[in-house]
Amino acid sequence: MKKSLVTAGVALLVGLGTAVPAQAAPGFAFDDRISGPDRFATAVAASKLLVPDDGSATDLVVVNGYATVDGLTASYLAGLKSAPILYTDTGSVPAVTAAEIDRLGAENVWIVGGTNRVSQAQEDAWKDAGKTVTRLAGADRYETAALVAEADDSGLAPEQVFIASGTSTADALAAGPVAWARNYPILLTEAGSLPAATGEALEELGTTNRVVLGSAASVSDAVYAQAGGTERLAGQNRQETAAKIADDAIATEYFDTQSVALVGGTDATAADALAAAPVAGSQGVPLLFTGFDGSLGASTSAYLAAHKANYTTSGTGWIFGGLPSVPQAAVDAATAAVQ
Amino acid sequence: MFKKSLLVDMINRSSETPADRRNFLRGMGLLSAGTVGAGLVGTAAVQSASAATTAPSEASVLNFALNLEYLEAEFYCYAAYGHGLADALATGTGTQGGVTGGHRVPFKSKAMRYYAEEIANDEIAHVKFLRGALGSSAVSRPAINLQDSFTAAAVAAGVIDQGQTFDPFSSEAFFLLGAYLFEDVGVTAYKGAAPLISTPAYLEAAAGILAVEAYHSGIVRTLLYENDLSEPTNLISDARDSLDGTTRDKDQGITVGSGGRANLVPTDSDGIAFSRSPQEVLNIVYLTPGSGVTQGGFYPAGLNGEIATS
Repeated sequence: MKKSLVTAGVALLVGLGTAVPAQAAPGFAFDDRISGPDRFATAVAASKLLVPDDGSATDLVVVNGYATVDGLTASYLAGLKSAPILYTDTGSVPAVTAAEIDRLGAENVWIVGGTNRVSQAQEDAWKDAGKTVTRLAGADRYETAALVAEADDSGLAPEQVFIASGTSTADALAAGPVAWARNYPILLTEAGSLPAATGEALEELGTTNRVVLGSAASVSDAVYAQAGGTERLAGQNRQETAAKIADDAIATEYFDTQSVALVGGTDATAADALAAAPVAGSQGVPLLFTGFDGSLGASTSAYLAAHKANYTTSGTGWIFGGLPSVPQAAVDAATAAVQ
Repeated sequence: MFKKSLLVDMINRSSETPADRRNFLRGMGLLSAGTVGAGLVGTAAVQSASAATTAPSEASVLNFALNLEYLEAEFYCYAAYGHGLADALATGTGTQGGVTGGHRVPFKSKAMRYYAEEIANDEIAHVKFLRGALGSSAVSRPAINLQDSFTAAAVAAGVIDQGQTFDPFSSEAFFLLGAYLFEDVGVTAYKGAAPLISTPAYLEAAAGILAVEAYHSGIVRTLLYENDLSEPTNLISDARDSLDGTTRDKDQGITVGSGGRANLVPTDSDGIAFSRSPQEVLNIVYLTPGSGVTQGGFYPAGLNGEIATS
């Protein structure tokens, strides 16, 4: 008889014959902000949290900081290598990123995106510095995602794949920590049709556990069926979908019940969510989005209130991104929601 | 199903203290007029009727095992998932402590991650099982150190030099060495505790846990051998052997002779696994040989429960 993965995951949370506290332990707060003056520096801050020891990284994933759609699925690749994700510009490497690359000392650099996103000159410079550079780039975001999904050479098929919208990117970002930690590839699709590259990747991977992220507006029922979807994690909006993904991560993916992270919920803050995926994944911390207007948002507020019994001082309340991305008022509201 | 009177009698004879006795009874609903059926999570009660008067009770032995399982569960939970046990799984009698150190291993191999996750899930299950069996008599998780302890052990073993740091979470190789430090201890501890358990249901469960720990040990030893880590592994084995405080050799590395022949199953001449007494186990986990030691090493504030002094 095979062990039940799902049962084990759930059991991890609830204990056996042990009551959970009735409310959050006094003192739990969202007070650990990982940020820098811009998206590049925020990614570096997250990288330092993941790899605190200088020179101890072996691998590094680099994507364009302004075209994160190319790197949308990079969280999976980074997870395969236990690597951080750093941002660069198209033509040159920002100083803060360059310094972090030096600090990490990684031998292997993985570029996600074409030369129109991360220039050939950057690739050449890293090669000249003695690094092994691998670029994964397709004709479009769907093909790039497919190439990333097939990057694992272990011979072991992924246990699960995510299928998410390639145009409404928040859902894929919310799943980033799970993709990193559990080595679940993220494939992208159009809402109304399954791109050929995505279909071929699904066939190539052979994984039958296919979780579709987002509502039918993002991934239609027809595409769900065509892709062989086995489960849909979706809410009324990106905040609620992220909450569903968080619940699933805790229930079945061994994520920490006692910790949670906030990240800005607008498209402009997508870069912070992607950069957060490695360190959040490494500690099993689910991501929640704040509202579009900079507030905590009703869905996230409701999620936190419903789970407040789980949050203890042993856990961590993280914020990824600076004050413009996640205003302090939203952070304070989150802390209040779990009391 | 046991009769209520039998259960009460067994508990009266075996609990660690009068307070334990009350906790057991309360946990089982036997202090009220309730029925017996829902007690003890489907297991028999604890007893030590045949134990000598100086021998620890079965509850004490199970709590001793629970202390060790907390350590293993925290180690593997951090290694596999990047976080420790939920606080709800760490409550109980005695002083609840925190966990120092621990983070996810930067896995490069999916297979290695699978090994770590499978063992983590088993160790978490052991914690839950023992907590369920002990009910409200279960000890809380004592303070656990997964940081300085490993460095001290590695220095003592000669794996690293004084001033260097051994972080078992820093790589797959170091993770295997860290796991090795625990697994053989677990096997010998459960086997050594067997004579202290007389209730058939608990003896069977303990045998089952011992078997699982032995599976884990076999996995870890094999992986260490396959990854050419016999030299540091054998040093750790020697260190454990010195630490346990006995003159008898109860530990074996993963190779024998000078040719690198594998020795993946540590046994005596009869092909039987070694036993360690609780005191010998304490010597190892406290990283301090000798008697009368109450804390140190992986348990900076000592174990919780009756069996806590070497």
